[in-house]
Amino acid sequence: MEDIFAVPLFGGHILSVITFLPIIGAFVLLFLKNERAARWFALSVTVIDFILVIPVVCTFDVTAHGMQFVERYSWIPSFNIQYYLGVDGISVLFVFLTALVGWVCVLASWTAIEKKVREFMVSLLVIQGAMLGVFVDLDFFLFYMFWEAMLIPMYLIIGVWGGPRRIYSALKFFLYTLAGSVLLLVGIIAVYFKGGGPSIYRP
Amino acid sequence: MHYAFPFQAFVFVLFFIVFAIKVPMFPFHTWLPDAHVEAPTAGSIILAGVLLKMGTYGFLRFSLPMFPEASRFFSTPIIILSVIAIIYGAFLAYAQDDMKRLVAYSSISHMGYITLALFLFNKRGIEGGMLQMFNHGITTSALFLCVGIIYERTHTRDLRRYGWAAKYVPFYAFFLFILTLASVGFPTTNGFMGELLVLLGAYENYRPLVFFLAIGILTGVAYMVWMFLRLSFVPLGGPSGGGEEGPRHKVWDLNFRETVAVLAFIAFVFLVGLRPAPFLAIMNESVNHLLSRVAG
Repeated sequence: MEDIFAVPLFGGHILSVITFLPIIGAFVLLFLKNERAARWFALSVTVIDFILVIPVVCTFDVTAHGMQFVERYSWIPSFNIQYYLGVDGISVLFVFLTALVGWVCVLASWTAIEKKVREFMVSLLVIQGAMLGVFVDLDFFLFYMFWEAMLIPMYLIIGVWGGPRRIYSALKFFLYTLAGSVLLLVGIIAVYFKGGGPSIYRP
Repeated sequence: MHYAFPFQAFVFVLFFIVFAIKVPMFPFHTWLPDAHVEAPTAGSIILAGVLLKMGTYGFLRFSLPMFPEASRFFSTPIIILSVIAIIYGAFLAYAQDDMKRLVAYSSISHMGYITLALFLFNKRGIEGGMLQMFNHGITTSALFLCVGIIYERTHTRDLRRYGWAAKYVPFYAFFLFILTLASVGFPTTNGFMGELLVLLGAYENYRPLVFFLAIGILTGVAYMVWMFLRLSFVPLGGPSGGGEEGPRHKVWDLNFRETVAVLAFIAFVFLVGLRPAPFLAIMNESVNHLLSRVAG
């Protein structure tokens, strides 16, 4: 078992692959016209994503408390913004949960969604990628981007495919979470200027 | 990097509001039932399964390690808010006739256990809280999936119009029964392990808390079992039912696609329930490290 995973998965970029696969899948899905194909495509992407998460959970070193599968590059050096991904014991289970929920959601909307199937699947894939991004990202800037990116597809899912009072509920959801996002931004800026680095992980 | 206390307190409160909206904690919870009731099934699953966990994940990633003194300072009010959420959410759930609204209010109650557990600052509490985060993601997602499956057939979520599911859709009723047990924390299901750890952590920290948790658990049993009974067996008021005539007729049982989706969740109900050790082992070292920073 150990030997199979001795080689770093995807050259050490496994978390990037997991996070961006649904988002790239969403872009590809925009060009599919057929509704049936859209369902099968979304299912394939989410199932592949789930399969990719399994080795991350299985090879996770339970004896270490630090970040694992780390990818860390300088992104915008003048503002000290990094591309910094990793999972520790706190986030790895939720990466797994998100990947599991992803393909079940596609199955759950197989026949329940009748109109604008392709657009719905695009929303599902985008929110999937954003949620994975929130759990694996360790840089303030990128974390905030993913946090915000979750909001829009969820607003659309409620507001377009929801029940009779969907506009009211979607707006309520949006306003609440937007208020939260503004405060999050203020908090992040406060911590950023106080010092201590741009990472949300403080070992 | 260690911040001075006034700064910690200021930023802690900012982050607290952000995450409390997301969780959602009392009194920021009013968006959740509306969003759940109107969202399509997949939207509810994502919301309950993952989006709510973002709030508690935020507490674990930001609040506790970055602002440990402020976390300790504010732990009592947060525990009080959590207790209110547990009991208030449970009673609200008990009063619902709409299935989705019922599960949504039960989410508020269950998320209350998690926020309470995280601010106990002992190992059982935090591990129990994290395990409950995972469990809630599994069980509540599966419950929303089940509500969506029956809604697709009958186009109503009004429990007063249901009955006899155990007779007409036996597989569906069987799976719903397992999920009901998981939701109330029956031994051998995932909910039991999580709730047990939370209770132990609460007992270790401040004994009277266990009393309030017990009220929440008992009310939880009441509303979940009552929902299952109203859906699956003779509705209250006799075979003809107390309510108006509704879709109390034969609908088709689970198809292959739906069975796979439900079983994916049920597998984890028993995996965590019967063998929680690997799930606790994976978080063990990180929780130790977190505690070493928070306990100060």
